[in-house]
Amino acid sequence: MDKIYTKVDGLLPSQLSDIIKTYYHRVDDILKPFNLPVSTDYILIALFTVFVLFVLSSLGPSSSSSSSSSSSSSSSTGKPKKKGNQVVLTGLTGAGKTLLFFKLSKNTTEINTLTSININKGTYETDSKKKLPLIDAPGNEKTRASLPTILSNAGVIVYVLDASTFLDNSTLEAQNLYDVLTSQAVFEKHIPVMIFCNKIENDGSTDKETISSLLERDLDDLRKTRGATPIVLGSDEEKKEIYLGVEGTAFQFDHLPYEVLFSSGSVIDKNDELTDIHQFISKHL
Amino acid sequence: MLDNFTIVTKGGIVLWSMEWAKLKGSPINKMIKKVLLEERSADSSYNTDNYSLKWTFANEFDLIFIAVYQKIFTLMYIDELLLAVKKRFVKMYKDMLVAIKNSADSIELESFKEFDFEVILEEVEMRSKLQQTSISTPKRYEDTTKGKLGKETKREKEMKLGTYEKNKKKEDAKREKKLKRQQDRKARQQEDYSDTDSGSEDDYSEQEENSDTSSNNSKEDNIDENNKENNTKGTTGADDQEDPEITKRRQALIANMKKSPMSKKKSVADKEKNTPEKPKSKKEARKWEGGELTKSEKEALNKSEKSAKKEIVRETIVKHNIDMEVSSDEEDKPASGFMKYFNVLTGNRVITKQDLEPILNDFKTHLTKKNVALDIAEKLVESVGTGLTGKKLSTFQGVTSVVKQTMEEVVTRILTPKRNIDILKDVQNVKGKRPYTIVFSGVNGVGKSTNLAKVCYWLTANGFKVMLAACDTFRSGAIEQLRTHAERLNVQVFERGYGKDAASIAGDAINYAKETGHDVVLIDTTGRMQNNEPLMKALSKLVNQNAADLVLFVGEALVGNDGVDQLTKFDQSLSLIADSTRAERRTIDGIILTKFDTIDDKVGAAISMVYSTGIPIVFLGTGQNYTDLKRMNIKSVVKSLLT
Repeated sequence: MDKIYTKVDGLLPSQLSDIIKTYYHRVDDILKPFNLPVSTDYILIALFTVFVLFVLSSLGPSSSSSSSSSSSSSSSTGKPKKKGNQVVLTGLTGAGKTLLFFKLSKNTTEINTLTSININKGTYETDSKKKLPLIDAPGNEKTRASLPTILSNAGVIVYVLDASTFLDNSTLEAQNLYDVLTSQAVFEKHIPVMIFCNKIENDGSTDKETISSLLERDLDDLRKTRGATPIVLGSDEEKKEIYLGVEGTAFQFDHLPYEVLFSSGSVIDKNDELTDIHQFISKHL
Repeated sequence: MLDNFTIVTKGGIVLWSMEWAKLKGSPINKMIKKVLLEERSADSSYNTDNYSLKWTFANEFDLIFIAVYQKIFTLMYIDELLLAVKKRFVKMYKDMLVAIKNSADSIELESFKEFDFEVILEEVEMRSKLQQTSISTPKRYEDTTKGKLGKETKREKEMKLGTYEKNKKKEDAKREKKLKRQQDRKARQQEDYSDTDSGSEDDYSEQEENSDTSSNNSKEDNIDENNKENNTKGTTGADDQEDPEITKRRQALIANMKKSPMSKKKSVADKEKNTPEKPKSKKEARKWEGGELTKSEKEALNKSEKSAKKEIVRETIVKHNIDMEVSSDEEDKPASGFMKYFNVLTGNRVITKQDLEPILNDFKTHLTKKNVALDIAEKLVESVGTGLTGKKLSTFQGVTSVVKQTMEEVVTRILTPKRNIDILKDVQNVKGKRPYTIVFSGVNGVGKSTNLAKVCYWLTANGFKVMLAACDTFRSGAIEQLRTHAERLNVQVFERGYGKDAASIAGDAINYAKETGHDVVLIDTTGRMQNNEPLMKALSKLVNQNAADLVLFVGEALVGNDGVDQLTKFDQSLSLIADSTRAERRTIDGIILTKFDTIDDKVGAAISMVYSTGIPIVFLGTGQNYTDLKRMNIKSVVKSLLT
């Protein structure tokens, strides 16, 4: 009767050792008919170790990820906050974000896309072979609520807009851009934004200078009206409305504390290398 | 028929697509925007322009399978097709799909090109056709028994031929010729008979064709006779093999389907001529013969064997089905005992319908307790359910927490307006050209005048010159109430007394405001119940005649199921007297939800109203002061809804 459990018997409280005993005998009964070469103790110990290892390994990644996220949110208190390293593509629906996503990650446009509901994740490789996570945010109005979360880990933002239909949607476009520019992450972390005017291959598309000046005018209006809307009900969001640019003067993109660049091009054009975007990303990340 | 079949990820990447006809417009995108993004996936189909769309999800891989077909066709097999394709596709590309879900740029579109969609389509179509033929009305059943009898007589005939051949192989050609002639004569007789019998030309031609084949058969019978004995062993051998047998049956089935009406007709004719005999006694012999015939003969024979063959095919398909179900059961079967815990640990647990059902029911009761309309709570819960079935749980994640999280996303998505209504900007845009008009509508006693005064206060605070138009010409004291507000807010009221036509007063008010340089005209209307049609028409007239810029519906946050009815009826009524020059239907532009301070956490009315119509909530009324006009915080509404 030199079973291992008898050795630890004295060390444990009597109730616990009773439980162990009953279970031990039960397992012993099951294993006896097999006439195993190893004693029941070792089998139990082996099973137990496997179990513990399993629990540890499955806990491992989740605990590490939670700790990293908490550290990133709490660590930086200085101004501006440390920004993430993701390249985020955003803009209204139908601007060509998903196609740009594939052009940037796989250098292909041989793909059909429909309206996105969820984000697409991928990797972007800079000229210096640095790998960055690439995020394609859905553009539909209904998914707008998820935008702040998506932007929170951004290192650079590429705002894609459709230059061929810009004049019809300039107000919508301005509202959406306003939301991006005034989102907490962008404003606190000074995330640089590139406004990419896509689809210039279409006839009647607006050039980027016109788009820039029209957006400036619209954003100037929005600054006034958004600031004057009744306050939001609910105590947890009583932060003061972020004011874009310099008060008292007409809004200009240059007034923003972070870089806002304009570029134009065509994603579906195979010859268009989109050098502006590549340079922009390499410069900031 | 099917116009398009598309397999797309929720990220919007088309993995596989097949087009039979070019789609006009973009019905799939429309469906995604109108149904999936508005959380209406509880619906089973969507109609747009000329198309009907049906879809199914593979949530484990974030995939959507979409079938597009012409609205005029009622395709019975679409649901089945979607499921079959889903099963096959997921099985074929499992690893690739997992990779795509984790990072979309690992996609290799080339590999999806070999997806054998046609095979599935063909099989499903076949099955549905079979079902259609097997579903029979009493009358058709009568027909088929008659047909059977007729067929058996024909079989009888051919069997005589067969036994004859078997027993007297060495019989000379003369005898055979005689037989053939006999057969021909019979056929001709039959033709003649049917000629007189059948009324329509169609039937006649069918008959002719039919009798032709039968005479051909007998000819071939004779010609092939010598070869028959040699062939017998070979063909039976081939019959034992599974695949050619099935294809043969399939061909037979197609042939049957094409020829069924005439065989029916013919059999009637046959029946009149010949006396039917007991069919079962000689079934064996027929089978033996079926093994050694040439293809064309087989077809002819099949016609007579229609029901028997069909039975066999159906049996095999049913068998096949059972096989499929068994295997799928094995896959989907929730692990029991130890394996269940093991799966919890490894994070491989798949959410099943059974897991979801009790939790979703709890959520439904919870939502209704929070004052969400019952049918809307049902739809919401169902939508969440379809979005979650088949998803994998991560380590130590409970189903309830997943459901709650999804519910949060869903409700947030619903409450997020499609467009931001920025009244100040809109007023700014037309300032100096014409006054901006806002109409306040709603049922009685919800606080139209009070909230009109609040909006007035807010607009004047932002530097606009506002005028009130008293178009409530029905309720006593309404004008006086408005006048009191106007005095306190120091704005002008345009009034014409009681009992006058509200629409023309509004028109006069707008003209007056234009002359006097007001920026905004706020139009107060009489409260009316949504069922009162004459009054609803009057409202429609007021809105359309004066081309109001913004129509707001004022509703109580206290209201339960009735709120949805009110809002939808008001919304519809605006197009009762429509302005023909407007391309789009006039709708309610926004909602003011009043008495929001009185409902505590029972915020359900907000969800019900927005979900049922898609109209955004512009303001919340939260008290009796002029400043008690707030914007809605979606986050806090969602929070109070789900706690």
